[in-house]
Amino acid sequence: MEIVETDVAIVGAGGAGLRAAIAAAEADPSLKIALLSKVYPMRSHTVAAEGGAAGVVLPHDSLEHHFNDTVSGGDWLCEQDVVEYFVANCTREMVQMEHWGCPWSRKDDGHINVRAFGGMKIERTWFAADQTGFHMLHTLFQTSIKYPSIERFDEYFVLDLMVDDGRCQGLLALQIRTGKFVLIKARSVIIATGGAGRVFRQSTNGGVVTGDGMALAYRHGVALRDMEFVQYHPTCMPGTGLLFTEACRGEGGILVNRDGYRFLQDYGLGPPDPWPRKKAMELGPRDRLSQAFWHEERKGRTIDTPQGTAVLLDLRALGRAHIQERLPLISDMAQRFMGIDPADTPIPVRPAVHYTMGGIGVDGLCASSLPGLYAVGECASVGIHGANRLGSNSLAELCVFGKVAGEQAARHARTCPPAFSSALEALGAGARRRALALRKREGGSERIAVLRREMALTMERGCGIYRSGDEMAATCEKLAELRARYHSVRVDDKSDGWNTDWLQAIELGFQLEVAQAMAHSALNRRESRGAHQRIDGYAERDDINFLTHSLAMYRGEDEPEIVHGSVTITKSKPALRAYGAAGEHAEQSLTGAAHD
Amino acid sequence: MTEPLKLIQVEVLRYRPEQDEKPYPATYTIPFNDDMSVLEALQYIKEELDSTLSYRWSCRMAICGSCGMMIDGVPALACHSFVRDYYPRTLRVEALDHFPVERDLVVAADDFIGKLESIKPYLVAREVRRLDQGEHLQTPVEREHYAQFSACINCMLCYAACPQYGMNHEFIGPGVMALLHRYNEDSRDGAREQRMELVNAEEGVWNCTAVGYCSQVCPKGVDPANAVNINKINSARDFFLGSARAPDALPMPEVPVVNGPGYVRPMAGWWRKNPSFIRYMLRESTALLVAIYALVLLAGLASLASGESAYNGWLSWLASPAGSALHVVALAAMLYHSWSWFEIMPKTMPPLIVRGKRVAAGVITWSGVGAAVASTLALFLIVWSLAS
Repeated sequence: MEIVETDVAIVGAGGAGLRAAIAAAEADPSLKIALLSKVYPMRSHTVAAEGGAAGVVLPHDSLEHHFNDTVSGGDWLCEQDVVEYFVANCTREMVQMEHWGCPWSRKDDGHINVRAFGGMKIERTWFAADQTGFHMLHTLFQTSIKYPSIERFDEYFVLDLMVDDGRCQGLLALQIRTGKFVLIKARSVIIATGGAGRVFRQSTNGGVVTGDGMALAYRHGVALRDMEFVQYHPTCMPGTGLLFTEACRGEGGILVNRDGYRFLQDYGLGPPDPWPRKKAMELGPRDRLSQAFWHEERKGRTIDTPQGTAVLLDLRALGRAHIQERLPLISDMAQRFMGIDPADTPIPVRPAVHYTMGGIGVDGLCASSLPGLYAVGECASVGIHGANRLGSNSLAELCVFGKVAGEQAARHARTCPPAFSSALEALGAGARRRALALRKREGGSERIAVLRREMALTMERGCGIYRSGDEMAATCEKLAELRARYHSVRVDDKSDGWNTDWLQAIELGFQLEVAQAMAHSALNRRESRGAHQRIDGYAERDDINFLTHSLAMYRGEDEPEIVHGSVTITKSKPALRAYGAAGEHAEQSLTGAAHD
Repeated sequence: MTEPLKLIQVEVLRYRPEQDEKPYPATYTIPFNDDMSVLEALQYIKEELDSTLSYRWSCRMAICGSCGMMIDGVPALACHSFVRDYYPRTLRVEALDHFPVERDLVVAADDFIGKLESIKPYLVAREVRRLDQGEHLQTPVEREHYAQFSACINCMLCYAACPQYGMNHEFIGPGVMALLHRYNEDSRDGAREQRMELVNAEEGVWNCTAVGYCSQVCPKGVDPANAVNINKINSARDFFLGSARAPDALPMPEVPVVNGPGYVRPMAGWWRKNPSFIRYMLRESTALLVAIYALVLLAGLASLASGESAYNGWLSWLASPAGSALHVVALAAMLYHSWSWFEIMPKTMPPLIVRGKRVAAGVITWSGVGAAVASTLALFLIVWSLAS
């Protein structure tokens, strides 16, 4: 088995991993950095982010506004000290992206332009048409080429972390092309593998988003935090779940039901006029909009499409030229996949799973409870999203905390004991043996595709937009059954190189464990908050018992243990979370109270 | 609402190096409905029929660039192509042309990535700013100069469409040249001179023979042929006017050729594979008739020198059926050559921006044709009036 020694190993080369790699390389050019990803960097799912990234720039905006939008948007489950650091550093990072060449959309005077986004009081979303994630990812990837200390391991699949002597000291990876194993000894490891949206059926997420990194850390005793909070994006393509960015509404698009009625006004987001108005109606937060869809569906006020029920996203008022300038990707997708020209016809949309708010529990410096192990991006729970993420905070998060993670991992690599444990080779050999045993097993009766489908269905049933105890319990039971059946999963492909059958089997193992953390965290949260809404007698937020983080602890073959962790509140006491006219009223009374 | 499913045959070129000596076609019959993409067809095969099939994919929305392959002989993204468009024929799927096949539909991308890394694909700021000084200013018009070239998703379809790359992997190729051009055209960048060394080099733009197919297959409207051909103009200008190379400019590395592992497919007969290539060969071969006609005129000159009877013989040969036939064929060839020249003209020139808007390719082509017809008529009239 090949052995590579490095200082900082980074798993995942999407936005967060690349930003961390650059930060580590800049912090100390003498450090060796290994950047591993199961795909080439520009294939990472950051590429599909459309709308934009937050950073306060307008004179009438302030860090306090961004802080308040984020904390109330997260239904007060955010780590407020971390949010303070976050909002204070977003703009600087957006400027940094500009200095690296990111083609931000501009105003006529040459300054960068910002657009409105859901749940945000003032326009602060930096954008590059509707391909913001694409441009940020390519800018970061291309910029990373400047740094000779970053050694990339493209198309390497990480199987396990090497943990000995109470600290993380590396990982075992598989070169996908050859099926050869490589043991990477590293003084610090950063996990930046993205979310886990593919454990659900209808999802905006690409095929690579299988929660690998979450499972890697979880198996070594690191808590997965707030996993019950899964974001349903309200405007996705029925069937495939492909995303129509929130920027459609930020630019002025509206949502109507089968009667052409702007139904959001019935769910505490109105009144509909004057339009557009921030933090109201179509620019409400994603959890509220997806919940409104659920109610409309129950009332029979949605339209039917061959791929299920839908409401209509109407962009006609924007005009063809504006759509072409600001939303070209959306327009192309609607025409290609649905045969609809959004300049003439409203687009049928419905909610689909979009984002995992929870993840590997880390502190504000991206450090996990396992020394030497850091996590950043969607796979991590650094504490800024709480119970519901606001659109355009995640791309900003990649940059702000990617930098933090890279610098912290570099610092740790310089200060930790320089020698690696002698046990690492044996640990690596064990992980290799387990991976090979899965592939070489004969006579398995369970098919990967079947298990994966059943997992996705039960997650959709139990952990959907609205949840009930019975359904969540049934999902927990079903996941335990699937994990048991996974022991007899069959890998038909026995070859070494490009064995995607084998890789999918390994991913399924990761997914089942992450799904279990989600379902059990959900079942244990007996209240409604943000994206976790219950309809079985726990319809209200319960700050007395549940203003706490859920921490899912791995217990091997058994179901996870769910314990509670405290939430840091600095300057925003939990209050009524309201949007539309009610929100404006609440804000006024808050400001009034502050002046008293 | 639920229409009965139709069945289609999907022929996939399989290759598993650990057991197959060379690629072979495998046929699967699958049910499909009207919104099934070719990627979903492959997923159906993997999930239901044969889990050993390997291919790259991720985003499903034509932005991650993973799923490029030859679909019915044309380089395309599987997620962006629909099964319905191939029915009722057999849907043929193969790995991307011109790259070594690692396995099934997976090609070795090493060479493309190596080339991409070699061109300084990042901003080398003309004016270094500190973060607290804020962003560089760049107007929407300045952004428009490179926006199209920054839209490349690195799907490598243009390399599979480029016969020059297929025959000579030293050629830097369309996609990477578009990226190079993207940074050269960026008003914030100051490393143009350094990158021009690569453009001018043997393996730079001059390997391109303006087949133009790369731009046809580009799923993102990047128009890499335009980037390559604008740089022919830039390179020629450098050659004749002397490059204004900055004294402290670091030399650029050579364009690497990194041959990844895998099965290399022969290039023989490449031009018969695809109507675009046939049209290209036809266009190039019409130049032969121009040469032949020049020889005919030369023969006339020679016969004039050797006396009246020889000249009259030449004239009568011109009037003979064979001579007339040659004229008709040569005229047709030259008309086609001229048309193809104007057709490709929009790709060979920098974007023409009038009142903030880019002039459409068709307008450029037809303006060229119009000017050619007008000047031909004018010349004809002058000669006619002189003769009479």
